[in-house]
Amino acid sequence: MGESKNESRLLLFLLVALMIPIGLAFGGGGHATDWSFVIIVAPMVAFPLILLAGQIWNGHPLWKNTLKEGGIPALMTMTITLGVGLWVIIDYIRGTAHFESYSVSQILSWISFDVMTHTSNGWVILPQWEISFGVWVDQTTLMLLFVATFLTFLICWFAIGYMTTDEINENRNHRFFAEYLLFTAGMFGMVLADNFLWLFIFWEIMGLCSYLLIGFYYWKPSAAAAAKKAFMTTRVGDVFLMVGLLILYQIYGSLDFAVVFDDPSTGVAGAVDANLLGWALVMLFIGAVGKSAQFPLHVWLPDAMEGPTPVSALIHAATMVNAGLYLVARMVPFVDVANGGVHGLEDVGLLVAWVGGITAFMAAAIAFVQNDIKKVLAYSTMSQLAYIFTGLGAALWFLNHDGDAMHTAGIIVLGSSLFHLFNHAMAKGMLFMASGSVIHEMHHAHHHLHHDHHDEDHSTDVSDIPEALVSLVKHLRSEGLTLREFFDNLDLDSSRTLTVEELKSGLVSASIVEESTDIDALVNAMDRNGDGEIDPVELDRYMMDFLIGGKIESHGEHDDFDPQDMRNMGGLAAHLPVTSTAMMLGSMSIIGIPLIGGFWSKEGIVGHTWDAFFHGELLMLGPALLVLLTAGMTGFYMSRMWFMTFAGSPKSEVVDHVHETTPWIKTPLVTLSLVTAFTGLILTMFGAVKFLGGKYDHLSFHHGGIIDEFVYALEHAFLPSDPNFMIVGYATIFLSFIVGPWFAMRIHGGALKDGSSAIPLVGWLVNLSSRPSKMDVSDMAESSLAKALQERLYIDHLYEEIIRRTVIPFSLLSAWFDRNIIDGIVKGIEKGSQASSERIRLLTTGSARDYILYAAVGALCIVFLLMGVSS
Amino acid sequence: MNIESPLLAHPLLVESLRPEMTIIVGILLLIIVPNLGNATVRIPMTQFRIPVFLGGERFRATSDPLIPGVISMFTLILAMASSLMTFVEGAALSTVCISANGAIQQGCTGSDYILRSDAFSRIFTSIFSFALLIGTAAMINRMPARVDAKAPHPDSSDSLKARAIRVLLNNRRQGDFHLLILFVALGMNIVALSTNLFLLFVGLELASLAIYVLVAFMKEETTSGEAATKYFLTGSVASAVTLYGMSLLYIWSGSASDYASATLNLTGPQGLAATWAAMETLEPLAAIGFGMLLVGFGFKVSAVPFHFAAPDAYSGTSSPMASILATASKAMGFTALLRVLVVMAGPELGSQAFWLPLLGLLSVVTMTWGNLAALSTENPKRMLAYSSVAHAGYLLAALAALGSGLASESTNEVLITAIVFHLLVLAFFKSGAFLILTMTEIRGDSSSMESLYGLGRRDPIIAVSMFVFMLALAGVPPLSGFLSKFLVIDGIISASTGSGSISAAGAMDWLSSVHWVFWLAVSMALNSALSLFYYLRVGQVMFFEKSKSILPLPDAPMIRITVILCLILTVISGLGPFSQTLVDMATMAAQHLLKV
Amino acid sequence: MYCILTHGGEFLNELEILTLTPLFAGLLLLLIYEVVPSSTKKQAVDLIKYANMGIAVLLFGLATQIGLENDWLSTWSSGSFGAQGSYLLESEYTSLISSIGVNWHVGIDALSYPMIWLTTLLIPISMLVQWDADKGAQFHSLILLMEGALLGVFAVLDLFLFYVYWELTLVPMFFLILVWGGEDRRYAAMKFFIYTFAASILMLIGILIVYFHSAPVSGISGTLTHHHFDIPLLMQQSSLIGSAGLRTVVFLLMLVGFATKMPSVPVHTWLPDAHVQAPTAGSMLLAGVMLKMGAYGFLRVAVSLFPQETITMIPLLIFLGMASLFYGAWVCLGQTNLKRMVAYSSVSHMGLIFLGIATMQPLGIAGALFMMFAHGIISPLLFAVCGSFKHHYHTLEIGSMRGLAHHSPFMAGHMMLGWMASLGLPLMAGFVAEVAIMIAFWMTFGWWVLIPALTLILTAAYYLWSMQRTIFESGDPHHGILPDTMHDEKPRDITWHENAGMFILGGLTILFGILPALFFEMMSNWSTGLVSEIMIDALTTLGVTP
Repeated sequence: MGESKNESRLLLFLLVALMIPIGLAFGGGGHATDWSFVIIVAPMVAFPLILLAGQIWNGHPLWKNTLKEGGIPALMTMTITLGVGLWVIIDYIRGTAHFESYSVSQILSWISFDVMTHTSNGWVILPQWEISFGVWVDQTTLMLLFVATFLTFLICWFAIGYMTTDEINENRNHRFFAEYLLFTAGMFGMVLADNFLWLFIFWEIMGLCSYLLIGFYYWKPSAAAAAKKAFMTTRVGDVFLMVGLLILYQIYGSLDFAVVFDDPSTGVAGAVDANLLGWALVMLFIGAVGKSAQFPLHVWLPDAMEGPTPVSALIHAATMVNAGLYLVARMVPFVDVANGGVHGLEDVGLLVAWVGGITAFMAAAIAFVQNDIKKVLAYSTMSQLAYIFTGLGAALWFLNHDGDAMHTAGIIVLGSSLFHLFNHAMAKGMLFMASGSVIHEMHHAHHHLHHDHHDEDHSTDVSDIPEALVSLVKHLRSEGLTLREFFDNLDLDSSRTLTVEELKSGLVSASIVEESTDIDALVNAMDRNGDGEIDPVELDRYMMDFLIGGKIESHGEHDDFDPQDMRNMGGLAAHLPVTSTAMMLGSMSIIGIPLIGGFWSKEGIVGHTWDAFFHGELLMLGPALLVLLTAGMTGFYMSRMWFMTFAGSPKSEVVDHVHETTPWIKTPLVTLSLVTAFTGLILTMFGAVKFLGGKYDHLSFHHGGIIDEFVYALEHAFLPSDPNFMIVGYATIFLSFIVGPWFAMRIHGGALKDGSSAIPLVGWLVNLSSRPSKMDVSDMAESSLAKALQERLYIDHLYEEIIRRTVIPFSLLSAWFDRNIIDGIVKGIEKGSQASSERIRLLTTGSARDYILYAAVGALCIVFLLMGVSS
Repeated sequence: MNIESPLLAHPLLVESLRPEMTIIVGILLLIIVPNLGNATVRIPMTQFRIPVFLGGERFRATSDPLIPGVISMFTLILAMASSLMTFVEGAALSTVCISANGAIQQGCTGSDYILRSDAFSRIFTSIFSFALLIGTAAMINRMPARVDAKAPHPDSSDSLKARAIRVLLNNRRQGDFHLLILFVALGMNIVALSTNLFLLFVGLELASLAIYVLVAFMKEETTSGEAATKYFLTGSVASAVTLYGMSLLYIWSGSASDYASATLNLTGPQGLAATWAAMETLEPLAAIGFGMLLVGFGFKVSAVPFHFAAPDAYSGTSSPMASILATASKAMGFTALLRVLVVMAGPELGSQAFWLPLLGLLSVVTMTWGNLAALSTENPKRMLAYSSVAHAGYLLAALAALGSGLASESTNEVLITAIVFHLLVLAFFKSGAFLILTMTEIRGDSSSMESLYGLGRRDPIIAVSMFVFMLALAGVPPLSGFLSKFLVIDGIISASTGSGSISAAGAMDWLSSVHWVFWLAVSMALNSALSLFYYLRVGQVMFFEKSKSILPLPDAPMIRITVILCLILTVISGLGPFSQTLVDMATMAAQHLLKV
Repeated sequence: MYCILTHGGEFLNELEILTLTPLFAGLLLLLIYEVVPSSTKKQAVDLIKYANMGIAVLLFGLATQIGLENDWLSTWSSGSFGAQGSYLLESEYTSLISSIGVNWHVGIDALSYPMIWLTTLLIPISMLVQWDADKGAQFHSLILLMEGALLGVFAVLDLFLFYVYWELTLVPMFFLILVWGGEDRRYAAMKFFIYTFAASILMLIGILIVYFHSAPVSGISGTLTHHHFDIPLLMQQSSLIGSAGLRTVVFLLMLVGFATKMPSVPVHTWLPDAHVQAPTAGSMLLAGVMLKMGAYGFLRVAVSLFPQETITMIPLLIFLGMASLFYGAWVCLGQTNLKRMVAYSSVSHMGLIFLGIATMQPLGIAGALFMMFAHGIISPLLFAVCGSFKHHYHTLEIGSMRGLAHHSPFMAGHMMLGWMASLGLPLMAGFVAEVAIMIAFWMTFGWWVLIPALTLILTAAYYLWSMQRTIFESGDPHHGILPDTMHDEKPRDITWHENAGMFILGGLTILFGILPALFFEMMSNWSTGLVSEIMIDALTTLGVTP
């Protein structure tokens, strides 16, 4: 089909484009780091251009079809960034930088100023301080740079397929791609920045873009709310991060990595006060918590699913959430006592580990009960990031202790955490795209199906329901009500739920339906949890389905059909070969199936967290246990997701009409499947862990040939010298590999329905899942625990309540105070003077008699006064 | 005294009293010229008739109703010019004194004289002439003289008859009006010149009586009669008190040595000033007499509580007269006040005058009362009346600072300069405002804000000038009103700030240590902020409200020209070289006053 | 004014031309419009509008030229700080009222230049944004007049003239509000004028006390009073006022005047009313430049003349700053009127200026200066957006309109940009100032920085809240919910001139966010000068140690 031709042509071009900088790299064309700013500037420049072009040529066929409303330009920009990124990486790995631990290049002097301080000889001016922007490249940078450039490239590719084929995005995609580009610019900037301030600056830019992208469907109240929530929650973290920066600045008199990391133990005022530095790190960490959606600032992440799927992939896998990890990784030099770090900061490590542990467990638990495929992935992201935090926490703890053993352990766990970041990013990016593919196809199939069916629509009162809704919307617009206000108006007994009567009377009073109309169907359609009452969420969702579909989709048999709901899926393996394979590999990597992707890093994290405990840090027991358990839970929920989606018999007729259509989606999936499957092992063999840990300064076989490396890797994974490692390792494997999937199979597994078959790559898994005896968990699903998990442990509710009860009243109070007290005084003066004016003018009676009297009195007064003075 | 006294023969007489002479000549002309006719008298027992030119059939030229206006305006212009001559020729030459015994001398060394023509008196005479001139100019359009006036045709409609009669009436009373104006001028000049209380009183009464008549002059308007009555009653009481006060002082001055040497001269060895200085402790007689003087002058400057008649008079009478009241007659009051307070009972340096608390109180009450009362009035003339009360308060504050005795020589100069300068520029913008009210008055009504509604649309330039006058009154820079107020506050501050303790550590310590006169400045500041309410309100109604009438203002050329003149003067006397000249003149006046 | 035009012979320098042209041009154009016969008024209006715009643009060019030819003032100080000779284009003294020592004396330094540049920039833009205002001729001439007054405030070095110009700014603004304002404009105009006048006349008393203590200088002091108003001379004069108590009094008197203009809580309530009622261009200038007069005067007069009092009063400054910042933000959160909210956000941001000055760090003061500048670019953008919103949707109620992005994508875009800039998003001008101030604040006051820091959350809260209820959540993928005030009128996007104006402002916001050094350099030079040559002495005399 034309699509694929179009694509393949583009592919060719892109590969060529890609070759140029890489060629430069090998051709040794200049110092890559000096060109690396292009990575940031290119998307930043493209952003406004696409936005304006989209506004100007909106709907123009060339712009729409050939340029995909900016998709193609965006992809080209991404190509450039990827190319230069690869150039930098290659240049670094085999270039001059190979021998130093990092390389820097100054680009822009931002502000410079003087500072006054008090010394022995009084107050003096310390002249010429500067905050500038430059590029900093070291292992960590490289890894994230690759992740960012590579994934954003693929996601952009995927987005072209995903976004431009959905009619709801008509003539809006330019906004998407523009914001997408700005987002990537933010990410690249953050990764490359050579000082904490600019790290923060780009970090904020990302925050802005996540706000814009999550709110891409800005007309949906839920999306708008989610966007705001994301921005506000991260903002809370950012503020503390900023304070952290202020402290650091005062300590070191600069925020450049070069200056700060050079000798973290001595600042401008001599030896650094560990306590103060500790506070600084904690503040930074709070920022990281907000950005990486860790407990207790995790609330925004699940809601962020309101954004289009590529956005989810972007935010959750490739970029934004990793920012927090990156920042924590940047804390390492402060605590690394072996290289001039500051002693006495173990507690920071513990804090990080604990937050990680708690979040990991909590997220995994919540993921158990999610039926929305993207929500599952969201929580799994949260949980996996938490893993990495735990690992980093352990790393901080280790590195803050003297002694080689400690140091090596620290390096390893640091390395494996970063390595896990890499693996997770790859896998999760792919998973999101795969889920996107599933949703996309389900959606299309559903539409297709709906069109087939609408002639035989058999419903008694289908005729007047749309009218009812149309008039309802009209009503809302004319009254300028939000849906919620409308709801509250209807809710006479303010029970926060509508009975059928309330709803009916309300609708009738607003003359939306006549007395006679039978609104039961309407009510049934709205009432999702079937309790016979409508709560605001239900009303909202119903309206949104209606509005966004632009038509009734929600009555009769496929009531409120949700293409993201796994309960409508099942047996998709037969229809989505590529997707199912990709998803399988991704899940395996996340679970940590031996030899695949995440396995290589996860082991290290779990093992060393325990190791820290064995080294006598009892407080590490908590995180250690939590991550261990989480390993098993991960095994469960990931495989649950896979089985629910792909195995078993279809749970809705839509499934049968699903098939993979657009090629734009396949390509990235295939690419990433390969990456996920093999890079874990390969990189391990190249000593990625120690490279990232900072022990090696380059990737290569460090222990002889390829065979030796392979053996070495396996040996380290399965036969570690330390028995503790062995126990922990196997426990992890057992939990994640055996227990979790086992239960998943028993609950959700099952063979495809007869006649349909899956490709062998996934077929074996489907068949396997049908083996174990089924297990009924319906009663468990009813339990209060399950409810609590569905309600996200009520944390969101708590926050909402707090805000509703404190912030809003107080703001209204202060507004009132300002209007009535402070301004009231001014008004009072005005009124008072007017009144007194009226009063004294009463004395001007207009009769000369009085005037003479006054004069006489005055005269007497004067005389007496003078007399008084005289005598 | 014998006829061939040296006085009349003295060459200096004309030279020093040029303005007064001019006015007298003007008066004579006004009496004679309109009466020139072809009257003849027959020599008894003969048929011979000798033309005497007085009475009989008037000549065409002399019966022209425009003549009186022209005469008086020329007279006033000449008077003003000749007064200003003083500042052109050197100060030393221009101080001339005339003593009771007819001796007339230059430089005024020592002896007790009754008239003194110096920079101080001359600047005031020029202010008087200017203010009256503007009033006259306004009246020329307010009470137009029509050459072609005819007796009403017997069988024309009543309204037509009435109008024709009004026109005739206007023609008839031209002479009377201008004559009275010139009498006012004469009286005021005498006040400005006299250094003898009795003479001063004569001048005061001459002016006042003429003014009382003038207030009632537009008798066809019911209000003016009433206003005049009130004004006259209160005024006469006030001057009676003053007269009584003077007599007390006279007695007191006599009793100081012996009755033979009793005098009302301010200066000279036996002069009141000398006696006053000689007196160790304040004697009740002096105090009472002095206080009673204040009552009379207080009425003239419309200080609370003697101001009550003023608003009624202003709103009752015609706007030109109101402007004269607000500028000239007020200035006259202050001349008298200055002479008495500074020359007679002025404090020696370092010691504060006994009238300080009185004036302090008087000033605060006056300014606040004026502003407050003005806030809620709906009648622009009344509003201006109250605003002039408030301004009187500001000037009294300056006097109080003068009396505090804290000020240095130069600061005293600043204070008097401020007062003089204020009275000077007041004649620009206050009269300007009244001129514009005159225009609305000709259109029918000037006693309600409605008359100003939508003026911005009806007549932008006039509206803008009105707004400028208001801002000037409010003391918004860079207009002259600001400069005058600025000088006053500056004087007060310069006088009082020094009294604060140097060692005061905190703000509170200092504020508690400073002399209370300092707070006069603060109250002035707050008051002028308060006053903005009603000044801005005028601008607001002019540019915001919809006007009731769509009629444009009358194209009264005389008034328009004068308004523009006032506008220009108001602006350029706020900042720059012209204001510099004015300030210098005022300073010269101040120095002369203090030299006495 | 002849004597000014030729200082005894040679002609005005660029700065004087810059300062005097708009004043006379504006008056002249107003007069011309009045005198042209009503038959040709139509054509006259356009001509006059173009004339105004032309002059404004030329003046902007001149201001930029001044900056360029002086190597953007990066090295500006010769001679001791603030004394004569340390100003650029400093005119020689020309006596205006010699008897009381009022002299025409102008000059610019790195404190005033950014403000002057900003003024000349904003004037044409505000004209552009309201290009089609009714009674255009008078409107634009008044704006030009406004420019004259504002430039005067920033250019003169004579306290008397400073005060004169200071009050002069009120008059055009009074008319802009009274004639072109919203429904409740009479009250707003009156309140604006009287409130600020009352405050500044107290300041006048302070100025006069200073004047009284100035040492006589021949040729400059008044022949009658023997005092002068010249700021540079006053700054040179050692021990200006003997009594510490009196110094404090003067400082407080001036503080009242400046804080009211700024405005700072609790004397800020004139601002919301004035803003809500003022026409778009009016509020742009009001927020963009007039509020800065307060901070400018505070630094130019109060701080420069009374460093010791500034230091002893730091707690007060902190209190005022914190109150404005924190309380202002809370009030913003409670507003339902878009323009009112933005107005209060100005109050909140101005609070940062006091905090920056209070740090006594060159960085902090430079930050405060940059905040003046940045806010001077951002807030006009905000008000331009509010204005066009009001203009096209006839309401300012937050929430009455949903899905603005559907109907007015450009307006929505500018709104988002402006809002984001104002809540201190990086790479935009506002952020630079905030960071600078915060760093300095931490250096001086440590953990107190948490209050301003947490305010940032509130700021974000009210901005996002208002955006969510304006741009977003129409509930319909193709139509917004229009306010009732539209009366089924078809919603339009902003006009080209509004758009152009906003694009310029938005572009500059980002430019100065990325390259703040363009102005930050000179500002930091100035503040270093202030601290090293004035503050440090004061600190030493007071014996203050951290």
